[in-house]
This record gives sequence, structure tokens and C-alpha cells, in this order.
Amino acid sequence: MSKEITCFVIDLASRPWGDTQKSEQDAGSEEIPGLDYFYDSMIKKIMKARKTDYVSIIACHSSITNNSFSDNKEFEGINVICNKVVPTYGTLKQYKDMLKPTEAQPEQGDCVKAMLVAIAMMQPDIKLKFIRNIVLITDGGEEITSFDTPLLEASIQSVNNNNINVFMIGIDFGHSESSDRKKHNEEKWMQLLESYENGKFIDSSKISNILKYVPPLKRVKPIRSYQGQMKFGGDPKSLEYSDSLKGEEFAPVSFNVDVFPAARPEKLTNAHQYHVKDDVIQKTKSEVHHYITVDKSKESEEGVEIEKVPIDKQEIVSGFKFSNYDLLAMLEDLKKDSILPVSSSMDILGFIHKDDLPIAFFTSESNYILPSDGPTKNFVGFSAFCQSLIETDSIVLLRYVAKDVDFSKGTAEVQICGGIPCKLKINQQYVFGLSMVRLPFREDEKMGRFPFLLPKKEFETDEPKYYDEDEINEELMEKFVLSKDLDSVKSESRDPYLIDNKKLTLTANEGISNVVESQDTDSKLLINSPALRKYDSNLTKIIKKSLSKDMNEFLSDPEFISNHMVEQSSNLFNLSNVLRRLEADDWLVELNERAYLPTKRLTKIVKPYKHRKGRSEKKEKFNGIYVRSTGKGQIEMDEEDPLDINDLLS
Amino acid sequence: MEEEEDFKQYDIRDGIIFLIEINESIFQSLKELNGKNQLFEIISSIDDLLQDMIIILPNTGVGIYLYNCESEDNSYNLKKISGLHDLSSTKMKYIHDLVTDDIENRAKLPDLFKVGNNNENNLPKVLTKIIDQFDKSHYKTRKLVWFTNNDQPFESKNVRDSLHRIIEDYEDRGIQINPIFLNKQSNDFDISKYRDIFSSTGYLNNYKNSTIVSEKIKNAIIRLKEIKRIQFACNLILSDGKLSGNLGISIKGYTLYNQEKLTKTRNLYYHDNKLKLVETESTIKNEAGEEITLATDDKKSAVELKYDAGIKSGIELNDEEKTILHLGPQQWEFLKNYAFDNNPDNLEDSEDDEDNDDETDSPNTDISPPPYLKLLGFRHIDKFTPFYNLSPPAFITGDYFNGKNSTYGYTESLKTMSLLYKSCIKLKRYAVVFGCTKRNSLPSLYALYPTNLPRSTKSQNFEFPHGFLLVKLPWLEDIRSLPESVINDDMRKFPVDNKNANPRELVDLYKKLVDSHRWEHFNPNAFPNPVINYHYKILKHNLLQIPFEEDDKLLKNNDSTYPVVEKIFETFKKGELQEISEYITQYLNKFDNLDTVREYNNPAKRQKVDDSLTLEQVLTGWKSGELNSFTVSQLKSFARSQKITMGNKKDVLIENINAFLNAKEKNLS
Repeated sequence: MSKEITCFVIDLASRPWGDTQKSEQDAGSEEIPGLDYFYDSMIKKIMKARKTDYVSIIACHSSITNNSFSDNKEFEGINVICNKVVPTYGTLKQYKDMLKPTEAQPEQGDCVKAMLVAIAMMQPDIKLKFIRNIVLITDGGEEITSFDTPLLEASIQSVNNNNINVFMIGIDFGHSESSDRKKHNEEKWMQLLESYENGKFIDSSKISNILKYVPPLKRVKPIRSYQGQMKFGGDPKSLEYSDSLKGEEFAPVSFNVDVFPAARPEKLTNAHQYHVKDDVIQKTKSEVHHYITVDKSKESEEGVEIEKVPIDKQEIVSGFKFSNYDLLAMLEDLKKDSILPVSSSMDILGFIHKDDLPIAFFTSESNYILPSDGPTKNFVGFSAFCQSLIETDSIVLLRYVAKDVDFSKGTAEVQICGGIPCKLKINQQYVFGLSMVRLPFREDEKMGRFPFLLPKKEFETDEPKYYDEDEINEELMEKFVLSKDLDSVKSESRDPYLIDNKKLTLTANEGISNVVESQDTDSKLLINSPALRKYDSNLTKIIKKSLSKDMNEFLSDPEFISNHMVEQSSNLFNLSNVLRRLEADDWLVELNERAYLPTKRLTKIVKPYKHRKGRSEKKEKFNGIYVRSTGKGQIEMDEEDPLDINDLLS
Repeated sequence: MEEEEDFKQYDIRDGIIFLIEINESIFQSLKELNGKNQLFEIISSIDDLLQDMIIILPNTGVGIYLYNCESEDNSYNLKKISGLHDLSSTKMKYIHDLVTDDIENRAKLPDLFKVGNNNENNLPKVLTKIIDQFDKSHYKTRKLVWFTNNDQPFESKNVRDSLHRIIEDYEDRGIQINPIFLNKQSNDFDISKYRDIFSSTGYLNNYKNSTIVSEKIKNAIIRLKEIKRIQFACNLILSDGKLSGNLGISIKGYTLYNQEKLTKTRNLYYHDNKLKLVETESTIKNEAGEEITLATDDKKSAVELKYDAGIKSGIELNDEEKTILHLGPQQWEFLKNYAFDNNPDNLEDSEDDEDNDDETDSPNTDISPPPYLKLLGFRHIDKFTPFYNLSPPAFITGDYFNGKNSTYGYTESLKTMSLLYKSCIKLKRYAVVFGCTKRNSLPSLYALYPTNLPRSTKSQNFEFPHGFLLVKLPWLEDIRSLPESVINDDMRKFPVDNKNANPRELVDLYKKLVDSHRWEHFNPNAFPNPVINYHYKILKHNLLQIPFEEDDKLLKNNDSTYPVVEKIFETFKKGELQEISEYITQYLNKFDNLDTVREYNNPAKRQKVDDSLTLEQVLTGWKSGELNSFTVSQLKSFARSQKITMGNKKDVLIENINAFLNAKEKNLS
């Protein structure tokens, strides 16, 4: 993963503009506004604990002067809180204390000067390969003298030459109560941002929703799982593993290709188990003991007696359970003999129309097949081949062996795969590729026998079991299906072979999500996982809240959830939040309302009913932490114990 | 946990007994069976079945009995070929030998199994004996597969009555009888006497008045491996808002296809010259090495017991002070609460509900705790794109028992499912649903795609079960990015609006190739997994000490895909395909000139391309001990091409390459 350095420039003179924020600010602790992103990003770094993810923090309009230009009076009031350090939980607590509203003279150390210090601080190792970000957080309310200076001009060049990303988080930019000076500064900031190649402005009022609903995406470095030829008409002898050196094999038609992962399910941040006792926290580990059971019944007078005899791990032989009666010790020779000696290769077996290859056969996660870097003819050939598949609506069937047989590890794998042609959109261009997925072998079929829902065309032994035709109900169900049409808002017709999503072309971790929300249904359905974002934002929230307290004490609050976790919004999924993007959009709720009548009539056929009363009570207990906020301003928590909103939020 | 365990069927323990009636006609050689007789067809099909079952259902028990067959063991002519026990290599060998001995004329089946004296009083005894065999066994589900081509199982009323009673005994014991009536050569099989003795049971309800023709014996036997594998059960909620979760279907999800792997490796230990399975147990310790003991309390879950003993789940934060964010079960539950609110605004349906009589029995459907699936809407099947697959789709159908094992279920689940299925088929729609299929799984978006439509499971010669495929759709996090080299290489991209980006002539040539090897359908049954079958074959030979010929080891004889590649290789050697491929090569060779231009425009790339070493260069360098003179990127590229382990340092890399080449040389000499 790329090394990264992020420099936060924080304006300590920032204040909220407008009445609402002011009153909140007065009631809360002494905090400068607009730091949501700062805390979110710092906490994520602390959770990931990467050794090459550095931060610097520069406070401007500070009462402390601490920077390498401090000899120069111009740079007074600029406090470099830290420079290129890996943040820790402990240091973040200290930074929090240092980032308090300033008591300094407002004219000291303006933001532009602090930016210059930030850029200068990046210079010493500018030649090293780093992703560099400057995050500027300000309301732009104080006097800035350094716009339009030659020094700033020079710094723009440095930012652009070194691919430094600049994010500006503006506090209440464009607010109706802004002073003239603020308005002027805002205009100047925008001009400056435009001069940066990678400059981006985000309004602080949007940032908390961006972090909550469209959290930044991580890039996982693509690891190639196969590099070699895709052959058609090649000699089958090459499928066999041989010890000799490998060169390129002749095949009448062949492309050089690479295989990369295309889809892998993302999981929650891993939690470990800790033993907490008397404020001492220790990681737990599980120790495995091996034993065999020996029947001592014959020696015993008390009937059946099975004794567990512990054994030494070294004496264990690896074995295979062929059947319940046949155990086999897999000694080296047998282990080696029992692996099919296959050689890494990819061979075309044929082609099939896309409608004739059931998705029921897709038994693995998808991979991309892309043309290898190399001669143009390879690229041209591969692209034309993919286009021929698209024009004939075909999928290519492949025999795929990713790696040579490995006798020492005892691994070999042959797969039959389908390669679906696609166009991968990169900005306003695309490249051809194949989305490859494994198809089942004979042993993978786990078909069962199921009731028929419709009259069956032809029977071998069984009579059809289906329900009476009920035309009224059928019509109702059809209405129901049609009224819940997700594509009812007509969008432009899409090229069905085009893959277009922002994750595809991510070259680095997103600092702040790039929010371009198109209204077509495909985009509305391809979003950040609501469960992952909820989990992450709750963890971040807990850590942020703990910063001003003792972590252990904070966590052991018996009313932790109601005191610290409950928000005005529901913690349950519902139709308005489950596919929520940055902007709230009630399209699913509206769709549901449209289907009210047929749904209502269908409920006459079906009744929900309690099957077994009282069963699973134990399980329900932990499932029952429901916090709902309702339109009537009521929050319910826990099914059995509904709490009043006033109790929770007062 | 209890509920989930209901649906876990890791250990499918089926006991099947094959009972076959022997008579003269079962030994008649038939044209449709390539001159073989029906008994041979049955035994060889069972042989095939066992080969599959040892891999996918190794805990199945199989017994084979012949009746009306001369036997020294008893007076009622029941001959045991194999008792009802778990599969084993010896049992498989015995049955396989019966088949091969017959083929190779060492011992013909009619010579081994002589037709006994037909006595109608024997059949009740035979069936009673078979019940005994089932009773002695430990199998969860029990099945009798009964082959006969004799439509006169009894003559006297006495025998009829006792058969009727015994068949009832089978039903009482939950032993399923699957009769397979074989066609006779001369006339049709008259099923009426069987209908009579089966009359008080449901075994023949689904039976049509036709018999199995000999060619279909194999198919009927192979289908015995079809066992429903339940993955999950939950409610599919179709309504929201005012109607809360009142409209829904209790559903079950089953496995259709999933990847079979060689996972039966075990730890073994030699004890008294015998191999024994090694078992494990584990203890939890803290860093100081102290064991943490958990209390035993049936009323508490494992998580609660751990929590009581001071064990909490947590995340370590980067901190010198070692700060752990540790949370209790309730706090985690809050973070991972995936319940769905079907009525967030707490609205009530204001219209009068005329049949609201049994309020007390209707559950509150406002909140659906996991597992559940919630309908979001429908889309036309043309909108479905399968580019990002995440897992094998599960098969969904209505729950016959209307969600019996959940806290609440929906009545008429199968009927509602049938309506939904019918409408989706007619309107060509698939549903988009959100939810978790297990209590602890992360929620996903899914496409609920009806079977027997194009792209789902439509196939020309086979109808899939009726229902839906549950196809997991990706979140943005699940999608992987392209390699940077592809994203940044601007010279090798096409503008989005250019639909005909590639040379027409070339595309048309490839299209000819595509048409030349078009498959009508893909049938997984035609392709046994080469690696798994080879493994089992070698182990079976080893267990039974059967000699192994060199030919048996050739990939050619073990890989079901090999003949396909071989056939394509042959077709390319001659005729039109050869010409097409030559045209393509010629056409593409024209582009060689372009590479000079490309390299000129992209000096970094040029250097990289020029750098790569030929095999000869490396060999020369290796022989003269001058590998060090090559650059790391050159060596790495060679190592990658030969799949040699890389190293972090140049010295290690060179060492690895040397070791690799030395080994090759040694092997060759």
C-alpha cells in the first residue's frame, strides 16, 4: 500500500456563522467547528495503525508560534503541532486539547501562510514516493494578507508539480450572515483552489453526511492471479505439467492476459478477544490440545469407559478420510502421487450464448481478464475478440489452471470458467475485458427436489403439484410487481456490457469521497454497504467521545448505549435509509406507497402468524436493542422496555 | 443457536437399501442397453452413484439385496450383496468388481445370482427382514429403492393383507419407499396390485401409470444423490409503511451448486499399529498464560458466558499505552443491529379491516430482526448484469411449513410464492431485496431472479426447479479496482461513444471462430472435477492395493476437459479454421510497427519492454555466475515468468533463481 502523508491546516479562529450553530456551540464544549473530518480521518488512521501513514498538524491564528520560519515575524501565530508523525490514541487526545479556539490576535498567522508552511514542510523528502494531502479547515473570517503574493504563486507550482491533493473544508461558506471580509476571502480561496490541479472544496455542513453515508473508499492493491496465454486450438500436451523450462507455446489463436480479482466481499473490521480484569486488559489466545480416545472398557469394571489420551503434536500424521471406514496416512509419496500434475494455462473450450449459461452456475467470486501489457497486436487482438463476443452475445468457456501443480503443498486446481465480455469504463474511455467466473463440475451439483410452483411441461415420474389458477390473485400480483418497478423513473438506456463505477478506477484510497450521484437505478443500487458504514461511523463516534475521558471508565458506563450512542435518527434499517446516499431520497418509500392498493388486497390471502409462542426468547434478547425515532417524535428502545425520547435525549 | 442448527445439514446421513427382484426377464439382454441386461444396468448405475457419493455424501449408508434369488443364508431367497453400512472402499470395490467381472467375462451376473423358486410367501418375509436392517441402523432418513419388473407380487388375499400391513409399517417408521417398476418386453407393467398394497400410504401418489424404461434406469439411480441442502430459512417481507410487514412469504434457501473441495484431510496418530483420528479441544488463556475458565449455564449463550468471565471483543488502537476499545455483547449488538423497520413512521392502516378477528395470534410485524429479506422493488431481467459475482446463488422457494421454525411465519407461503413466481415469469421481472439470510451475516442486496428464464436456469433439455435464485449483488466496497497500469495507459483505450472501436475485418474473423465452436448448453454432469476424482482414484487404488498402470496417470485419461481441448486442436490443423487463424495472425502482425511509435511516446515503457531478458541471456548469466549483472526488475520479471519465489533482496532473488536452475539441470541430467 502506498505511503501517505496528510497535513491538516486548522484555523483556530474559525467560528460558526448563524444563530443555530452559535447556540449549539455555546452549550457544548469549547471546540472549533468543522473538525469532523479531522477526527474521522485521525481515528481511522489510529485504528488501522499503518506505519507509513503520517500526519502533520498546523494550527493558524494560534497564540503559540512554533515553525521553522519563526524568525520571520510574518509567520507568527503559526503553530506546528506535529510534523510527519504516525498518530496514536494518546497523541490525538493531546491534539484535541491543543485545538481550542484561539485567544491570539486574529491578524497573526493567517491560513495562507500556514499553507505555505505546510508545503515547505513537505519539501525535504518530496522526491520519495508518497501520496500527499493538505487538508485546510477554515471559516475564512479573518484578515488574510498573503493572497496574490509571489510566494503563494510559487507554492502553487510546487503543489501541482508534486501532485499534492488539497482539500478545503469551508465552514459556513456562502452563509447569509457572512461578513464582507469573509465573502471576499471565500472568493479568493475558490480562485486559489481552482489553480490547483487536485484541489477540492467541501462545505463543512455536508462533511458529516459525506462521512456517514458515503465514507471514502479504500483501494485494495490488485494482485495478479494468473499471467500467461489464453489459447485457442493449442496442443493439449501443454496442459500436462512438465519439469522443463517454459517458453511461450504456439497456438493458432492466443492472447497474453492477466487475471485480477474483480469482486471480493468486504468484511467488518476484525475484533479480537481480550480478557478484562481489574483494569488490566490482556489479549486472549486459544490453545489447542490434541488427543485420541482409547476405549478402556475391556480393562474397566464399570462398563464403557473412554479415555482421552493427550498426544504430542509432532507425532501427528497428516491423513485423509476416504470414507467412514477408510483412514489413510498421507505420507510424502502418496501425497505427491495423488495430485493431478497440471500446468498453469488458460484454454478456450468453446462459446455459449449468454442466455444459455445460467447464473445458477456461477460458483465463485468474479475476476477480471485483461490483456497483458506488451505488443500492440496483443491488445488489438484481445479487444477485437471481446467485441466479437459482445456482437454475438457470447460467453467464452475456459479451462483455467491458475498455478502449476505444487507437489510440496499438495495443491492443484483445474477450473471451468465462463468469461463474460465487458467494457470497463475509465473516465470517458473504456477498455475491453472479460469478467471470469467459475462454473460447476459434476460434484458441485447439489440439486434437490422441490415443489413445482407452475404446471410442469413434462414429467418423468411425478405428477404436477401446483396451485389452482386464481386469476384475480394473479392479476393483483402482477399489479403489485409492476407498481414496484425500480426503473419507473426513465433513465438513459445503458450499454449492457459497460461496467461503470467509481471503485473500478480508484488509484489510491479516497481522502474524501468523490460524490457524483447520478439518478439512474444502477447507480442508486451500487452504493457503500449500509452495514459497514453504520458500524464504522459508530466505532469512530465512540472513540471520538472517549477522547476527553478515560477509555475504560467511559466504556463501563452501565447506560452506555442510551448515554452515548442514541441519536435522533433510527438505528434500524428502513426504506428511507437503507439505500441512502448523500442526499436523502425517498424513492423507495414512494414506490411502496404506489403499490398500496394491490399490496393491501394481497394481504387478504396471507396472514402473518406466531408459530410457536415463547420459543427463541433468549435469542431475541440481544436482538432487541432497537432505537427507533418516529415521525411523532418518539423513540423506542428495546421491545420490552420502550423509553421516552425525553429520557434519552435530555 | 438452536434454530440455526436446524438448518445445518453438514452431516447428511441417508440410509438407502436397494432391493431388486430377480427373475429370468431381468437377465435378458436388451438392445437398448447395448446387449446388457437390466440387472447389469442397475448394478453398474449403483457403482457410478457410489463413486459420486463417496465425494459428496460420504456418510451415506448403502445396502443392496436381491430377492427371489438363491441364497444359502435363508429360506426365503433373500441374497445380500452388501449390508446397510456407511460407504467404504471395500464395498465400492466389491460392487465395481461385479461390474468389471461381468464386462470382462470373468463372472457373469446371471451365473452369480441364480433365480430362486418363486414363492409368493417370501415377499412379506423379505420386506420384514429389510425393515430389521433399517431398524438396526443409525441413519436419519431411510429410503428403500425397490426394483421389480414383476407386476404380480401376490396372488392370495393373505399375502396381500400382510404386504399391505408391512407397507404401513414402513410408513409408520418414516422409511420412504421409492418403487421403480421396470418395463417388460412384451406388455405393459400393470401397476394395480402395487396400488392396492400401497393404498393406505402416499408412496404412489405421485406415480404416473408408466414404468421406467431400461434406458432411464441410470438416470433414476443417479438422481438419488439429489438431496435438499437447506442453507437458511427466513421471511421475505413484501410490504412496508401502513401495511407494516403484513404481506410476506416464509421462504427456504437451498444449495444448488457449490464448489466441492478436498477438505477431508485429518490429523491421524498411530496407536497400537492402527491409525486413529486425532481430536482437539481448546482452552482460552490470557497473555500471562493463565487459563480462563467459563462457567456452564445452559441458559446463556457462549458470548454471554465469555463476557461473564471477563472476555470482551475489542479493537486495539495504535497507542503507546495500549488502548483497547472493548465492548460488551449489548454494545456490539447495537453496532451490528441489522433489524429492518417495516413501519418507521408508526403508521396504522386506517381503513377498516373486515377480517381482523384473530388479533391475538397476529404478531407485531413492524420490526424484522435478522434473518429476513425485504423487498425493495422489481426490475426487468434485461437490466440484470452478472459481472460481479460474489457467491453461488442459493435457490429460494416457499416454505411448505410456513416458517414453522421462526418466531413468526406467513400463511399460504407456497401459494404466494407461486403467484409471485408466475407474475415474475410472465412480466420478465426479477426482485431486488435487501437483508441477511443468517442471524449473524452482514446484510446484502440480492437479486431474486426467477428460474427457467433466460440467464437464470433455462436450458433446452432440463427444467430447473421452480423458484428464485438469490444472487448477491455487490456493494461498492466489494468491487476491486483495475491495476494502475490499465487506468493510466491512455494510448490503449477507446472513447465511450465509439461503438465500433475495433477493425471490422478482424472482429468478423473472430466471430467465425466463435461460431465454429458454439455450445448449445453447458452440462456440469459431463465434467467430473479432474483433481478431486484423480485424488480419490489414487487413494482407492492405494487402499485396495490395486496396481496402477502408467496410462492411468496420464492427464489425458483423468481430465474431462482434455478431450475438448484435443478436439479443438485437431480441428485447427486443417480446413477453414486454419485459414482464419492465419489471416488473424497476418492482420495482427501489421501492428508491430505501431509499437515503435508507442515506445517513442512512452519512454518509461520502452525501457521496461527493452529490459526483459530472454531465456538464453539468463542461462548464459547463470552458467557464468553473472546473474548479478542484471537489474532487479529484469530478474524479477524472469522469476515471475518461471514462478520462482521472489525475495526482498537482490541476493535472495539470485539465490532462488540459481536454486531453481540447478534443480532443473539436475532433473534433466
